[in-house]
Amino acid sequence: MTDFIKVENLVFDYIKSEDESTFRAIDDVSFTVEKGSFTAIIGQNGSGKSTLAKNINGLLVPTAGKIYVDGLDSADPENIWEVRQRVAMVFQNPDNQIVSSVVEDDVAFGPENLGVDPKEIRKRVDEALKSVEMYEFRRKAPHLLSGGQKQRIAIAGAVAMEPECIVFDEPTAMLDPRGRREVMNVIHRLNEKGITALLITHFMEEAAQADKVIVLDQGEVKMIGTPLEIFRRAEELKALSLGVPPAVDLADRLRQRGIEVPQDLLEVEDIVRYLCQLK
Amino acid sequence: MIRDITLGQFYPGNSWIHRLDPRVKIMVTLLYIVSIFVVKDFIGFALAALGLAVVIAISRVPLKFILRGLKPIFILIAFTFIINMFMIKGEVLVSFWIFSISREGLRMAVFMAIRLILLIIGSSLLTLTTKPISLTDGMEALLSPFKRFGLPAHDLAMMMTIALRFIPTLLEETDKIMKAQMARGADFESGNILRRAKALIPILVPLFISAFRIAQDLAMAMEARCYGSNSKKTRMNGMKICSRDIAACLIFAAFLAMIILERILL
Amino acid sequence: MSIEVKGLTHIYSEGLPDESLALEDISFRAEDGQLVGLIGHTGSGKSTLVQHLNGLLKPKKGHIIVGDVDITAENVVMRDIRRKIGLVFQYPEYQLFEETVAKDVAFGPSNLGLTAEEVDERVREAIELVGLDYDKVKNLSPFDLSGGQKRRAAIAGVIAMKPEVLILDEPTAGLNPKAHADILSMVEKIHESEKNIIFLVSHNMDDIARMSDKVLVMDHGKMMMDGTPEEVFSRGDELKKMGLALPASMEIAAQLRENGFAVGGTCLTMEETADGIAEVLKR
Repeated sequence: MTDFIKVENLVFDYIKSEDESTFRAIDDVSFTVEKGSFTAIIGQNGSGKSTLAKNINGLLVPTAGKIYVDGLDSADPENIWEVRQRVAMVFQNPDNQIVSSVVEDDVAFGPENLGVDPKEIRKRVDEALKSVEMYEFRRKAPHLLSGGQKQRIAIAGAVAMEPECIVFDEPTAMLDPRGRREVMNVIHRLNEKGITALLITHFMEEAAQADKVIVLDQGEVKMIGTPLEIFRRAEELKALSLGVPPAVDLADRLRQRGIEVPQDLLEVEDIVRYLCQLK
Repeated sequence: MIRDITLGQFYPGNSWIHRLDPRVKIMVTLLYIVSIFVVKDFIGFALAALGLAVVIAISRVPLKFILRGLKPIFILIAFTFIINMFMIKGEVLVSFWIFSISREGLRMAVFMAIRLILLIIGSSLLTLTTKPISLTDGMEALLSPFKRFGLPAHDLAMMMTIALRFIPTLLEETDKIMKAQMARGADFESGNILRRAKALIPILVPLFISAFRIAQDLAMAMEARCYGSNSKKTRMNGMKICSRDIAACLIFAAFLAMIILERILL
Repeated sequence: MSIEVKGLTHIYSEGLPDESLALEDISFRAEDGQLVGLIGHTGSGKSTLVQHLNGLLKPKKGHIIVGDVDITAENVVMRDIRRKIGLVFQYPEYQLFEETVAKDVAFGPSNLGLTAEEVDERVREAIELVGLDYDKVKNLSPFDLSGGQKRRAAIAGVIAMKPEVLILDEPTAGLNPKAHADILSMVEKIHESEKNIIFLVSHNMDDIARMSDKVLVMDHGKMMMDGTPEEVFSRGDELKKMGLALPASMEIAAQLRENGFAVGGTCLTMEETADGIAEVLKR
């Protein structure tokens, strides 16, 4: 597999407008994201995960270090629109990213800005709405939809730009469990269709569904690995104010009771199956 | 209460009126407003009202919905009515103390009230039957000849789209903040004007902060979706004048001719 | 102290085309010192219910009796309702408005018409109860606090009114795991020190199962279940039909039992489930 995003020694400082003092949000971060993969980034509030996301598609410009998107330097103003087209973004608050009062017009916003041919936009909008299962809502007003539905509209807006990668910046944080399930299903489906997914989240069970997990703390990468490799380090995660998925939590407690449980059980179904054959 | 405001809202539909080109609708609405100020007698108003009624019928927007939008403006209408009724001098019909109502005053008051009602219904019909985004597209197109004088037509249109989009969001936000402060014992209903104005601070401060937060998020989201890129923007639903629009123009021209003839001849 | 709701019914937009029954004949009772979990998916009528409890909405029918006062009665004074029942909305940090934290927290108690000394005393108490350092934060602008601290300050603003019934609508919404756990232990601390009735509205079944003495389940404006966490969460199939989940610990137990692995105990927490499993395996 080829690397689609390459982050090399990224540093990002916020500058306070009052006294020009700086605050380092990202400190020497390096990692790669493979084309077509599903990567999760976890970390507590203020760990720098949102800042990292905004650096990737050029909404923020790195203080030092480089980010390459499909070989393009994201800091080069020449590349900025190209980069944003290839790496679309979905934000946390479903209300604050929908521009238009009609669903389909909102989805068309990105391609319109890119100057896509009107007939082609129509086609893309319909396809994007179908891919998030919101086609029948295309003429509705967004403010009448549920949080999960609004978030799916925002995802359709990203999909209509035909990006190769979508960065999801805590897309489920403000949703109820039903909305969260809807959004996670959509993310999985898009990933299966070949879109590279980068999911920033603080729900461990969501991170457990990714191919690769990056743990961020105070602007630094603390761990990188498969969910199996990450979640077996429960103690370290707790020290970073993070948790583990329920199955891992149970496995841990069983081990404390002297019951041997393998390390590779991440989902509830896995541990249930294992325990049943123990009996 | 907040949910009753229909002014400036869009009523989704697919009627003949809904499908007209927004440029045509904007021009027609403007001319219609001029025409109700041309009219000077009851027959003229009857004609203007009839025209409006036909449009409402074709648009299939429920009358109840349209009338609900008049409610918040009722005070304005009543105020105009009373001012006109008492201020215009002429043949006195009734008088008491220092006030008197004249025939001319009453006539004028009724006319002004009808004018206002027609004006409000007429213009709200434009927003009710035109998607906000088409409306702004139409405005942008009509304003674009002024671009050469430095008028940022596209940005103005975008600002309007966003304003329309966020009216319901901010209303909801206001409702939430109000309730939250009421739960903390805030009282918006008693006391004199000064006290009441002061009581608004706990609502206004969080509301402004909210608006700024929304603005920040939205600006970021728009940039992420390539707003401001150099490529020439396109529109999914490009505007094209078709036979239906020409028909609408002709029908409206006939209506205008009738209004003008009525004014001259009767 | 107790709170009793009898036959509460509410209709939205009565007489208009979009009229809908928001609450239908809701009745329940909560006793002194109970922590009541209220669950139901978005739109089930939870928020409409809690707004009634606080007097923000008036019911079409029914009564809410706090202690021996009917707060739905005609002649009831709003200030008395607020004194008895405190409501913390979702994302309460969005209601902060004063120049300093102390002033903001004082807003509620001053509206109750207390003396300046009483207000100051309550402000200090409330700020410390939510786990902030009074001397450090009192003169800070609430907008300079961190996200989690802002939420605590906002909750202090309601606690300072010393309500006998405290309603918390999704107090952990949008927080990461650590902040989430911190806010919940703060809730437990408040409950312990104030000995009030707490209503906890949440989507997180793990928290509800672990913390509640009693659980209320709403769906389509109706009260569907009312019982102990054991009773309510033993009806997993019905909950799932309403789009609700089981706590993770009970979901695992349920799946094990389905596969013939007879886990004992209530399994309200992961610890209990682990105990139950260990017991079976060691037999």
